[in-house]
Amino acid sequence: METAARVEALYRSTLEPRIAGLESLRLSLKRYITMGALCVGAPFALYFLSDVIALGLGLSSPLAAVLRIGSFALIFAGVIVAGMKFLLPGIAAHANYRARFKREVAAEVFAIVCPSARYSPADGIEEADFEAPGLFNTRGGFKSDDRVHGTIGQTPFEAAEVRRAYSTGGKNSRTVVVFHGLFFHLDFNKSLRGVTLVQPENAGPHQLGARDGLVRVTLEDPAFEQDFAVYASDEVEARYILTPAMMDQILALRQRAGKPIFLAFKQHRAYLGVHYGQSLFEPGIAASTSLESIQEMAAHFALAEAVIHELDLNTRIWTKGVDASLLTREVENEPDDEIDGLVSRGDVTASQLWEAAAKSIGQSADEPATALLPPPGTTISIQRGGGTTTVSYGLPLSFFVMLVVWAASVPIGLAAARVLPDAAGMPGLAPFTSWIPVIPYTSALVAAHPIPWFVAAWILGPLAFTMWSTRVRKVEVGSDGVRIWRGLRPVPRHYPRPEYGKVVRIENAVYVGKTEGLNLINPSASPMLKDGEAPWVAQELRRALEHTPVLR
Amino acid sequence: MSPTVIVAAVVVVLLGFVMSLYNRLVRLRNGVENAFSTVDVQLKQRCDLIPKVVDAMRESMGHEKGTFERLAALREQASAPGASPGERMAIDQQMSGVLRGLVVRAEAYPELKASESVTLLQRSLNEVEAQIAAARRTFNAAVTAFNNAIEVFPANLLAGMFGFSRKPLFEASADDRNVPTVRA
Repeated sequence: METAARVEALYRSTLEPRIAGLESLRLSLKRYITMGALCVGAPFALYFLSDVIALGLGLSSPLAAVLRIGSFALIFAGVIVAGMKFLLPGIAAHANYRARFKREVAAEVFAIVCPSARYSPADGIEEADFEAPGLFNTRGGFKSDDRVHGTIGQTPFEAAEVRRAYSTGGKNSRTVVVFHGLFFHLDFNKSLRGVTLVQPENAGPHQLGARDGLVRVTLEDPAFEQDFAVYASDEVEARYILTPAMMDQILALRQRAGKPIFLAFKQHRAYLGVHYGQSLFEPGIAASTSLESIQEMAAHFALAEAVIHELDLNTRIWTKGVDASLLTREVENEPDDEIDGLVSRGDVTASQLWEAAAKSIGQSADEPATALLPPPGTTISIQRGGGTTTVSYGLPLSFFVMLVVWAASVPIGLAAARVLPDAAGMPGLAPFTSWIPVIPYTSALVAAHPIPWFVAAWILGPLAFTMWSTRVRKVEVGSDGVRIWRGLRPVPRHYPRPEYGKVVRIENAVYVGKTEGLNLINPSASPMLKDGEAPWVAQELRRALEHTPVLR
Repeated sequence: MSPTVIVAAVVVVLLGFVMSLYNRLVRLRNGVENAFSTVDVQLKQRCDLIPKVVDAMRESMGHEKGTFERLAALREQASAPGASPGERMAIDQQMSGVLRGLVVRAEAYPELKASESVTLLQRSLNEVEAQIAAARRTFNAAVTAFNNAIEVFPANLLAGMFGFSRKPLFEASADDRNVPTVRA
């Protein structure tokens, strides 16, 4: 094969060195995956094998319980460590590896296989185009990339990799793939009034769209009938499209693709899907990308030409002219959002990815262009002077309510605990509560219903405590760091600069973040604020950080 | 249960069966008629094209006079009322052959080849031919379904009684397999 030889020559001369250049990226990605899996997998294994291990080591039952609980806790620790240390860097490494592979390798293969068309790996086809003929089930999410478009001979076409899948939901939820493969839409050479669908005879019902108003058309070619089921709004039109020659061509195309193919004809377009059930044009991760997979990629790209050739779409002897409107869609130079833009660049870092992700959920690190004014009626005061900026939030009534609730819950909780072993009929607990003395008034109060009092006090108490003790009172930005006063503490917590030097806002709260890299837990620098207050406070704090020089 | 009730039940079931079978055959026969009327519409469209073809080509293809006359005569026959499906089919076959021959010979005339209107006519002719072929295949599919239905047991017993008889297919000419090669 001529193309195969050319692809091989390209591989030897250009692609092999480039793939070798991507090797370090691939290896680091592989390491992240392995380490992440190990971090989560090892505690899991330990947890499931804890009984066996305890038995093997002859551990006593309390020790075995400790082992089991400990390994269970380790699962959480593993998930957190894997998330923080390997997940984001792994996603970044994968995005870079993939973007560079597509730009440096896949685009080259495409250029020699299909020189008259363009390849844009980050773009896809429109969901509306995929759904237009009603060929597939419309349930589930739609994802498309690796867009290819142009004109082969006289026929304009657009193609892309498309994945549509949904999850069944419920207890035993599983993912059902409706379609995953190459989807083409092409300018058809005949004008049509209705819809004709050509579906593989063995396609699953979960794959197919509704066929309302269509009739089953039986065609005279037995080989075709064996492989395909045809549904059309007009029997005569279906046969106008599916001439005996066309049926032969579709069979030949199916042979060539080696996978189930779906076709649809509507208005002036032909639609064709080749269902591979897997991703195409992706770089190898477990092993480096081989010549075979490059040849396979070339074969997928060459399919566009084969479709137009096999379906004889360049024969334009009927009344319909060439309609290139399917190519006129605005090519999006701007990616959909910041994450897409970063991911397609090929040199994204984990912290950039984190920032973009945080931003997309409403966390903003951006300085608004204009200076924000304090919203009317705010009780927050901001003072500058002596090289520091101080934000005082004040303490609202709810703070003192929480304080009172907590203060009350302590004696109530203790008094209820004292009588609990008797009330609950668990005398075994008595040694743990016998030290509690009789508390004046309170013991009498809880004596009648100790269990509800116990539960209420032990739930509300800690809750109220958390609320009043973490409530931010005052923030001071100075030259050596950020000081934050919380609850009733007289001494502030100190977050040194320049380690801490970033202010982030998530919805209506402001946080102080580390200057470099990412941290999943930021110390809060404000209570929940009212609308309008948070952006203003965040901006003031950012300015303070900017204008207060760091002295260490 | 008395024997009369059993007999009555059997008769009712049998009658129901005969009725549904009869209705099915009628539906299939109407399908055939409907399919034939589609062919008829397409054939009329082609007839309407013929004067235009003749006008466009007569000047340059003077010595094809015989062919043009033959076309005109065929057109007369095709538009005559009361022609049976069988006759229509025969006329259609002849007309297809004559038109194809004309188009092929037109290729030899450079001034025709260059003419925009002749190209457009050829495209229209191709379009109509493709539509006729499709309609003809639809007709054949309907006839095959009908013929199958009346020849299988036990419908074959009923078919004779109600006067359903086998219908002829359009002969698939070898030309249908090949799209005419006209410059695009």
